[in-house]
Parts: sequence; structure tokens; C-alpha cells
Amino acid sequence: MTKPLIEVKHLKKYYETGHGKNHVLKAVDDVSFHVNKGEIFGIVGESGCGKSTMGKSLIRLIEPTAGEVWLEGEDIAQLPAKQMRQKRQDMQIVFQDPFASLNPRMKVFNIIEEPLINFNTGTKQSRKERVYEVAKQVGLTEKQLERYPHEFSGGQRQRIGIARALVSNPKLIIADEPVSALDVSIQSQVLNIMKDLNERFDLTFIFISHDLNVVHHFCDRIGVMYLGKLVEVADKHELFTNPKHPYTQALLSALPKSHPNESKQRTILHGDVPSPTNPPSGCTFHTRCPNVMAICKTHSPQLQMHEPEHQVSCLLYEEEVVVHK
Amino acid sequence: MATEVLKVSDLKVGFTEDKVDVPIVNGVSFQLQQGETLGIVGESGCGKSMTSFSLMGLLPSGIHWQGGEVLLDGNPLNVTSQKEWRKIRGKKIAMIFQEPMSSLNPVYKIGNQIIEMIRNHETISKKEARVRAIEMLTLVGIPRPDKVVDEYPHQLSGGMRQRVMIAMALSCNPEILIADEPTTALDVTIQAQILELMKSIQAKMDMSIVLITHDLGVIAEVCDRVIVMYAGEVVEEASVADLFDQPKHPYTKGLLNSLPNINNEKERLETIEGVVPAPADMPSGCRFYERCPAAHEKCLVQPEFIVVDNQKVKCWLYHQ
Repeated sequence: MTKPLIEVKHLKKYYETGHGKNHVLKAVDDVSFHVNKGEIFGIVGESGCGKSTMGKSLIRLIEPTAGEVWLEGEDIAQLPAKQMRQKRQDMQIVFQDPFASLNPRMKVFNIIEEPLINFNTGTKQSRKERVYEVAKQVGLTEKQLERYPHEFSGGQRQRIGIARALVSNPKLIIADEPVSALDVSIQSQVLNIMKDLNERFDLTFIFISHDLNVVHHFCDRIGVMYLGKLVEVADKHELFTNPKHPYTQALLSALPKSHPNESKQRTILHGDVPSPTNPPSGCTFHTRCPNVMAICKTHSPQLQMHEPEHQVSCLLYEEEVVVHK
Repeated sequence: MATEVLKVSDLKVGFTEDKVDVPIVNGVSFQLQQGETLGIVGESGCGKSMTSFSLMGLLPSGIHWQGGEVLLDGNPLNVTSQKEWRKIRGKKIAMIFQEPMSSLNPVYKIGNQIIEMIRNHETISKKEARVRAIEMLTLVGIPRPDKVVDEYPHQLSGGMRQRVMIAMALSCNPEILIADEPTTALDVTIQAQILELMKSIQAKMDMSIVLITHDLGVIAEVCDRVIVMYAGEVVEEASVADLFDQPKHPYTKGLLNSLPNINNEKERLETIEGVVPAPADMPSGCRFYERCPAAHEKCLVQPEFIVVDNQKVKCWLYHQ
């Protein structure tokens, strides 16, 4: 069996929203998963489910409240700040907004080179060669490197963001909604670049997105988040053909048709996502769940292996509970 | 035969630079039948939103009419008269916007915003208008409408605010609803709710809808007919089934092929190379020329529309 490149155990990020025990916002609540080397792991969920916070706490741009993040046998959640900084050579992030995440006063060359200077890698000459190399990999010309970010379109800027993440030769890239600000024709260009990098360099990705079509196309394995928790994790084919969690089922059925003549059975969820400052008791999905049982209001399900390589967190599948019902 | 409620011919809207008119929307024409949903699809900057703003007389400052004609129920509109627009806006043509967060006034109660709109167009007492407002909120599926009417926009979620926007838009029983990316800011589960609501209300009120979106999935979901825009121009017009089954224009084909789709697995997505040219920098021939995989010499001259298999397409490929 392949050893996971990164293993996340019971990761939590709580925010205090006031004084006292009841004023805690559980943005990420006890999330565990692993990603193998060369794998593309997707995290999908609606706005406010905590997927971005989770991504940022993995590389400690947000300090997690508790939990372990094992990268190649080392718990980086415990590393002192200085060592963590060095560790980020191995794990880089690509942000959602290609307009806000590039310094407007730096030339593209310097933007891409900066991580190398930061990590004290190589000589001026070797850095230059490395920058040209990654620029080529993402489809930027040498001439474009002498320009400023404002001279580029959204898709081009996202290429710059990817080149910057790539330059330090990381083992893992966390991509936080990297294509959601882009038009579809540009989105496909950027997705293809990332897929090439994955295939050529066996680069591992954690890909955070709200778009199920994109996740289905790009990822190997997918985790579905709802209100700070992972509710289902499975291989992409398994997840899309055999979704177990009622939330995953509803998400898939809410997808717009891909062809006007397609007939679609819809489970339309009622109501909105509850506020994470005051999540429902028991299973947090019970307020919207079409299959809700009495026990769901009091008992929280755990993420359990239901079938090989298919984890789900739902009382419908926890046998002891069903017997007692 | 269905009646034609709206006809737009050769619409030109744009800005002026160095005393030269630069169109953003360049010669857009279409018709809308009673009870029909027409989709306008295109990528950012293609002029689809500007088209919708023109139909409401809501052009941003610096942008003005450069030509074209709008017929509403067969009568030409005086497009430069704000007075005329005020009579039409909300009453005959209503609009819902992409951002339900910023299109409601945060300091007025929801009920008062709907009442204001009704009383602008109809002579009706405040009390009656309030009853109508509650009816409208009920119609769009807002729970506790008699309470929500006295709440402020910030107390509602995004999906609920979009429902309020729809209630407000429908409160004077308009003939035409323009929906500009109504679900783009919403999550998929909420998007499904709102699209379902729009369909059911349209059936109830026999309304015509112009739906502007970048999302071909939304088009497939609700539209009857579609126009595809590229760089300020219409490049194709077709029934929704034809558009998905047999897209004609290379741009439409490119758009459909670059979509990831869960029913159709592909290793690599097709792309459309390059980017949309800037409005001041448009090629004189076909505007898609530089990005088109089928481009050839003829394309340096602007093609005319041609009808092929009931579809209108603006491309030299179909001219013999």
C-alpha cells in the first residue's frame, strides 16, 4: 500500500465569538483524512462550510486550534514558526482571487522568484533559470515576465500564481478555488495546466472547490464538507455513482442539467445552511435532511468506513443505531 | 401564435473615447415571445449585462445609447427619456440582479421597500400595499411572511434575499422579468430552489423572462431559446435543445466543450486559446477570428447572420 504523503488527524479550528462556552464558532470541526503521493484530493462544499479555513490551517496560514498534520512522518502542526516557514517549501498554496493575490508593484519575474529568495535557494543565476523553467511549464513567455500583474487577464494571473507556488519545487499544492473566478474557456486552460503538472511531476494536490463538475473532472478522491465536518469521503467514481450521505445526494441532484433534454430527479433541500455559531444538535444536517430520524437530533454520527474506500458520517449507516431505532 | 412582447433591433451601447464612439454592445437584435424564457449566455465582458441594463434604462454613467430600437408590445420606446423609463421600469419590465446582498437597501425594512415600489406605480393605500407585499412574500416561498415584512435585509440569508428581490420585482405584475445572473452568488442547493421558484411563477403569471448568465447549466435548466454573445455581438441564436445538440458557431462549440461534465468523462478539457479582445481594439472582421480553430481568410471580413437548421449563426463556415 502506498504511504500517504499527508495525513490530517482531528484538525480543528475554533473561533471565539464572545465570552463563554457557547460563543464558539467551529469553522473546522474534527476533520481527518489522508492524501497519497501523486493524488488529487478534492474538498467540496458550499460557502461557509469551512473548506477554505481547512486548507489554510493545513499550511498554518491560519493556526489550527487542535489536531495533527503529518507530512512525510513529521507533525507540522507542532513545528515552531521558524521551521514551519522552511517547511512551506514543500507545501504551497494557490489562491482563489488572481487579482488580490499578486503584488501589483512587483514584476512577474520577481513575484515568481520571491519564494526562492525567501527560502535561500540557489544563486542569482540558478534562480533565474528556475523561474524561466516554471514560467514555461505554465505557458508564460520570457517577455511576459518583465511585465506587471495589471497587464494580465484573470487566467494569465492564475498561471502566475501557479508558477509562484511551483517554483520552490513543493510536494503538495493546496489550490483554494483556483478557477472559480475564471470564465469557462479560461478555466479549462488552467485546469489542464494543473493536470499536466500532476502527471509529469507526480505532484500532489488538495483541490478546494464548490463546483462539483470541476471536482469530478479534476480529482481522484473527494471529501464532502458540511458545517465544518467531513460527511463523506470516497473515490470520485464511487462518490458520483453511489453517494451515501443525504447531503451529497442532494448536492448532486441540485446540479443543473448538462443537457436540456436530460430528465432529472430532484431532491430540493429546504431551508438554508444553519449558522455555524449555533449549529443544530446531533447531526448538523438533520434540519435539512430528507431522511431524518428521531435519533439524528440527539446523536452525532462519526465518519466511518462503510465500504472499502468509502467513508460516510450518517446514522442511516451506523448499524447499532439502526437496530435501536 | 404567441405575441411578441419585446423586440430589440440593432442595439448599440458604449462609451466615447477621443470623440469616437466605442460600442460595448454592438448591434444586438432579438425578440421575446409572451411566456417564453430567453437565455443570453456569454463570458465576462461580452456585453450581456450591458444589454440587460439598456433594457431597463439603467446605463452606468459614461455609457450611452449609440443606436438601435426597442419595441415594447409593438410600441417604440423613447430610450433617452428618463421619464418614460420610470413608467416602464418595475411596471412593465422588472429586473433582479446578481447580488441580492447589495441590491436591497440595508436601512429600510423589507416590507417598506416593496410597498414603495408598488405605490410608485399604483394609486393604492399603504395598508393595501402592505397586504400585497405579504402576499408576494408568500408567493415566493418565504416562511413567516407576516414577520419578515418588518425585518431588515441583513436578517435574511442570500437565498431568502434573492426571494425578496423576486417578490419585489413581481409585485406590479410585470410582463417581462430580466434576471441578470440571479443565482450566480448562490450555492447550488439554493440555486436549485430559486430556479424552481422562477419556473413555477412564470407558469402562474404567464410572464416572459430574459435570463442572463454565464452558466450553460442554468440555461439548460430553464430556457426555451438562447442567444450566445461574444465580444459585444450575438454570434448564434437557437432553441435550447438545438444549441446543446448541434452548436453551429465555433465559439459556442468551444464553450460547450470546455465545460467539465459529470456525465462525460474526458482526460483533458478542450480550451479556447487566447482572450477576448478589448472593446477599443476590436478586429474589423469576425471578432472571434484570433481564437477560432476554423479561422480562414474570409473571416477578415465581418460575416452576416445566416439561418441553418432553424438556427441563426454569424459565421462564414455556413455561407456557400
